[in-house]
Amino acid sequence: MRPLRRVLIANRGEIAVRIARGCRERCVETVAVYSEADVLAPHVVAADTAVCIGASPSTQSYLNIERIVDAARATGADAVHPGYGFLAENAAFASAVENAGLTFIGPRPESIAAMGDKPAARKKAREAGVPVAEACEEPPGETAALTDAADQIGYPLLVKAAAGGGGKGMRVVRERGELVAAFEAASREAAAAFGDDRVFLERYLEQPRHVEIQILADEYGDAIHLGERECSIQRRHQKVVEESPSPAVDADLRTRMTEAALSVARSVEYRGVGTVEFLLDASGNYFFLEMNTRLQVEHPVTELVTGIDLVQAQLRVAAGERLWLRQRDVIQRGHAIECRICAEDPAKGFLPSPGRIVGLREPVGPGLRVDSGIRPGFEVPIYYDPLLAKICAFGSDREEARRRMVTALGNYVILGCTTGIAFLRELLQHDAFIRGETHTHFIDQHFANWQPQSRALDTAAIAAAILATQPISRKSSAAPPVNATSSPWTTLGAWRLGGGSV
Amino acid sequence: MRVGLRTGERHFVFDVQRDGPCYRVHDGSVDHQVRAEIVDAESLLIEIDGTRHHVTFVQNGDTFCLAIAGESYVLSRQQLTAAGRHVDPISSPDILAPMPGKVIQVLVQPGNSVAGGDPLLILEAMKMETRLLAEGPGIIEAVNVNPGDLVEGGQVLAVIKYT
Repeated sequence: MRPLRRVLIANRGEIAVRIARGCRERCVETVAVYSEADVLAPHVVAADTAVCIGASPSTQSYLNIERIVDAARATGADAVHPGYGFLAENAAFASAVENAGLTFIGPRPESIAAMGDKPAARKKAREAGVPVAEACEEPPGETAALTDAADQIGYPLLVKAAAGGGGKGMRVVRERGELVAAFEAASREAAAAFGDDRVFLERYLEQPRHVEIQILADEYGDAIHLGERECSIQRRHQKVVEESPSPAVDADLRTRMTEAALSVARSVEYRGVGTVEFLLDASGNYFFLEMNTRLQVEHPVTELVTGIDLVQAQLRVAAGERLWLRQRDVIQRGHAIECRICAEDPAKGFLPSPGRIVGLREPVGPGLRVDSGIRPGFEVPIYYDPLLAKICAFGSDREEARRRMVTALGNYVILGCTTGIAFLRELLQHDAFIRGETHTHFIDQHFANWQPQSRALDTAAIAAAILATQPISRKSSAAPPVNATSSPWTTLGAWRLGGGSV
Repeated sequence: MRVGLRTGERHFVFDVQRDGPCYRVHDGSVDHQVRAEIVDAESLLIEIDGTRHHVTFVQNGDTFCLAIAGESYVLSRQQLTAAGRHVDPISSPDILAPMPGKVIQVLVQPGNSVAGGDPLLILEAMKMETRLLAEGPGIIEAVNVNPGDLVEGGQVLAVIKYT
């Protein structure tokens, strides 16, 4: 056993806040790192100590391995939690942490490396007896041979980056004539994004579901699963709505998919929490997609339906504990849905919309959970991912969770930057979503060229007109004088709450 | 009192009359009966023709951000002419940054002729690139930024003279 006393969190935003909370609950001290854009950001405030590690661009801060390891040493941390994104799946970072004599809260560097290369990961999965989509893992460079290899798979097919992630270096090819151009474009994009131009060909599934299995393993070879999550609702190959359980997975399919996922995890002697992702077609066939060797953004839905805290589980495994749960101790109940709240405009192709948060009210109530990385007055930096917060709704069944989410989104106020709240609220009320007919092209199919319905615009305009003609009657019992509540808002600069010149 | 408001392409002109605790709001065709009460520093209850709404808002001078039932709006107060009409802005030759970000590439120079849809600049924010396109044929009059510059939302990046 290696008890952890102080953990450096090598991340920012909502996940760094969430990890700090998990550490505090286990009486582990926390060290935040931050860039110049994140001075006094919520994750910095949430930690016991904080170290500035560099300039705003992530290459000079959150991706700077040396600075982060130095900060861990300087603050006397004994472990490093990578969160997700940034360096979370960087084997060199995990090695650097271990070489500095610190504990890496995640899998062994070898497991990260084995799963980071997609063709190699597919090979591992295949050897473990897990179905993979038909592919050509080492496509020939010569045009005629490449065309033959593609014909073998059949169209449509995908060209994917070997070192890929986040949809970069990926192209759909619908017919032979598009193959060479797509191959070259994907290769160039992969070289630019990952410094590795290798691409491979894979069969393309039309309208599959994205279903993933949560794994928890200790360092002694014991591993269990915590059920599935469905994350089919995506834009730009990135998830926006996730849920557990999946409406498409029955007990028999769950048994087969979880066993397949455990086989993949065992094949790389996996340690800690990780996720094995599959595509599921309409006939119930599933294919290994990749393994994410870290905590997922959408981990809260699993926490809600299993009652298991995944961050605390990571800390316990990292401390060298043997698994404290057997498979039969894991009992799923109810249903959970998560929505990602991003600073982006769904009416303009999800254009990023950074800015200053001038108003914020997070919904509360039975079965709700908000994991947030913002606060009123916070300037959302332009340098990082647009994820501001995640909201989860739990219910005794899917419909109860869905209605709870729709209601909660109606009470979620973020003013100052455009978010997807109104879009998500409509998406969750779409008949196909209500019926559980979700697939990875759901947004393209049902919400292409979406524009806000602006049902409340006339109401908003009348309210603004009234506000413009101050003063407003104020019930003395209901409202404190604006000055009495204005102090936390001084950071808002010219923005005034309420306007109350009464 | 006459109030003009605008959000995007939508304009509103209201005549607002205070009547005790209530307001009469005339929108050009309909008279609305409105009651409004401040709830706390950031929200008010507004009852329009018998239907009640909880509106969260912040104000910056003549700009109001409001949220109602999961939707949010930014409305700006508009100058009105003597006749009570909006002063219509002349279509702008300015190429504005649609969001705060970093200039990745500048694809035109002053004097260049461009066709509608030609890319002028590439901006990056939050790991996503956005191309700013010419809305129609024209000639570039000025370019105010260089690659690597950080820009604010609404900043004038270039000026184009549409032909």
